[in-house]
Amino acid sequence: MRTIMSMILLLATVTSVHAEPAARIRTHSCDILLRLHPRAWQPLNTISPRTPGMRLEPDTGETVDPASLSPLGLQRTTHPLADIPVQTRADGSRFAVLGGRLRSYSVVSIGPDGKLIPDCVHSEQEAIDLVRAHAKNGGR
Amino acid sequence: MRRLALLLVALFAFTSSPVHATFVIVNLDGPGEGFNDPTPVAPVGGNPGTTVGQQRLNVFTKAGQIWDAILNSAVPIRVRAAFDPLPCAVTSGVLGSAGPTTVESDFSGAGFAATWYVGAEANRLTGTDIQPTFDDLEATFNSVIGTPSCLTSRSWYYGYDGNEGASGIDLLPVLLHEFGHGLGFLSLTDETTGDYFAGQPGIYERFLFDNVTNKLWINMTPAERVASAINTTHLVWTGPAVNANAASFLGKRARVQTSGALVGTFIGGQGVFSPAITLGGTTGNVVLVNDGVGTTSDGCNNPFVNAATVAGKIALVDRSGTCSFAQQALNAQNAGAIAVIIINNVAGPEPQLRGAAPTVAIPVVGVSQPDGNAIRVALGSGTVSATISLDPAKLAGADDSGRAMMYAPNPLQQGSSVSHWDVAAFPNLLMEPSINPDLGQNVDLTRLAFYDIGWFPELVAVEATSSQTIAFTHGPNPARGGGVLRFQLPDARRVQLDVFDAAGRRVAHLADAIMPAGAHSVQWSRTDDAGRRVGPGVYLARLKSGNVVKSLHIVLLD
Repeated sequence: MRTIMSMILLLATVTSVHAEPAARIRTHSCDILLRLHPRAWQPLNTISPRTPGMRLEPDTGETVDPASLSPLGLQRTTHPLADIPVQTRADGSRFAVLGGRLRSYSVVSIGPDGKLIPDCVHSEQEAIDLVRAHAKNGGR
Repeated sequence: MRRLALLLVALFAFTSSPVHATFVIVNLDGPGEGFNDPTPVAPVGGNPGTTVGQQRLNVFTKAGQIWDAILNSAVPIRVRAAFDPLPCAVTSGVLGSAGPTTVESDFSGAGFAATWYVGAEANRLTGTDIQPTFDDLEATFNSVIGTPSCLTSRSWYYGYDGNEGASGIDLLPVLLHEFGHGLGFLSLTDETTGDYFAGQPGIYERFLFDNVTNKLWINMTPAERVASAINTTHLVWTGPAVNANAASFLGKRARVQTSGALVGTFIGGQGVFSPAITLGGTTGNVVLVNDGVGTTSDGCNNPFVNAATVAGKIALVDRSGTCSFAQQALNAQNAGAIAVIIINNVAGPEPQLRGAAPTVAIPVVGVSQPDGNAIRVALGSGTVSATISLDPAKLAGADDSGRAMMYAPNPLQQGSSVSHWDVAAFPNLLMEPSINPDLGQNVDLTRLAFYDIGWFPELVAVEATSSQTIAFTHGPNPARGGGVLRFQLPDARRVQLDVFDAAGRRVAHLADAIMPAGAHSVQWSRTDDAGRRVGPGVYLARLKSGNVVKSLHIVLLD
């Protein structure tokens, strides 16, 4: 009984933060599922510099794997929403599932005075470009 | 056992079916990682969590509660969230990302036809979860910050009090900012082509206006929108809620007025690290610094070669790529300068002066490259005297008509451009492209933008019936108490004065009487009709007299 009461108390403490309820299983497309579960990004300095294709940024000596800075396999040259289909319901309303394609990204770099320099961009590629640029110039 | 099962079901139903807007954080992390990281930690800054994972969840929940108090949707807002490794290097990295999952148009309750709304707003307007198979926002934050390969010297700060210290990265304002985008503070238009998403504007784009062409974005051609997106300081917001309240959140604009060899007035950018610039200002002769090293006018090297000349004067320095604004200011102060003018080293408007330097005790202002160069050139032909002060008639971050400026740098910063307030806003705003360290948790002017984009149609309808025949004001705004409502009647008449909450419900009935002509004031004690203190958020005070209705927004802080 004590165990049961503990379970109840435990559940009672979980108010607004839930694990994914089974009743809300999503029906995303494969593309969306890929976006929601991207491959783990590999930290730059943990990659061996002898790996083919690796390079060292000349200014800072940081190891950079160009592949690791690609936008998680989704190469885009157009607007993030360019090819997202729009669906129309019977009542005339319309909707589109963005599936994370239009996210804003908070990026920071450490400035010359050691302070954080924040930025906000709206695509993964731009975020990666910022990280790459800062890695290249050492935060200046 | 059956009774136990029923009890459990009832308990879950109770906890997951709140009576008003609730941010539900859907934890996507697996056991032992992200939100479930069991690493023990001490409670910090009001966050009572005792594991890393619990503290992360608590901050997400806190951010959700803050937005919840503002948006007050009857439909829960669900955020799919995870902490995962994101792109990072030793000196820079992605903190996190968030965005809307769906967009909707032409649904029942939409304020505009053929207009996109993010899913969370569409749900609020319809009163139902239009897409129950999809959550409303998606958010992923970086789980490897502070590891040897990712912003090594930093770590997430999970407190609620903004005391992240020198090495912390405050998660809460980052979440508030990213959630803001996911809730609708963003343009769906491709700024490189000017094309709308799927041929129609988003509700956000309906309030974008170019004060040079005098056109709304929705009345522009795609080519005109492309040009407007880089029309720096001229792309503004036309929403009435934001602009009516801009003066409550934005300070006065800094300026540099010169006389002598150059007569002019130049817009100044203010620094968060230096003392506030005053209306009276600081006046002195201007001297270009010479630090004797490299670009000698950048003042990065201490002491200055011409320190004796700089003493007692206003130091003019070039923005540097090698040392910070704060360091330049400190060096000038050490040379005896009474104030500092920093000239931008790139095209565009005056620089906004980030950084921290508690020991800088003199005013510092940034000016654009052309303005600064004009002062520099004039110094070659005579003495230039300058006064660095606040312009009593202009707002920092608004155009001369008081409309909040949007971020429109040239060249375009795709994604960042247009979907933020301009960096000239001072004090800083939550939805600027940079999440600055001086932000509070009250979502500042940004919250009013959510009125403009239609989250509260009940209140917008009231606003639209305003008349100019009765002067109606409130102060202070924002307020911690209820403040004082003042109105001026042209003649004796019946007046009804009420306060409504963000959902359009009347919370306080303040007056209903025939009043004489003249000035009147009514104190609101921030209580509802039952005498209970009302929570923080945006409220609407409505004064009604016959067919004349006037309204204004009251922002109550924690």
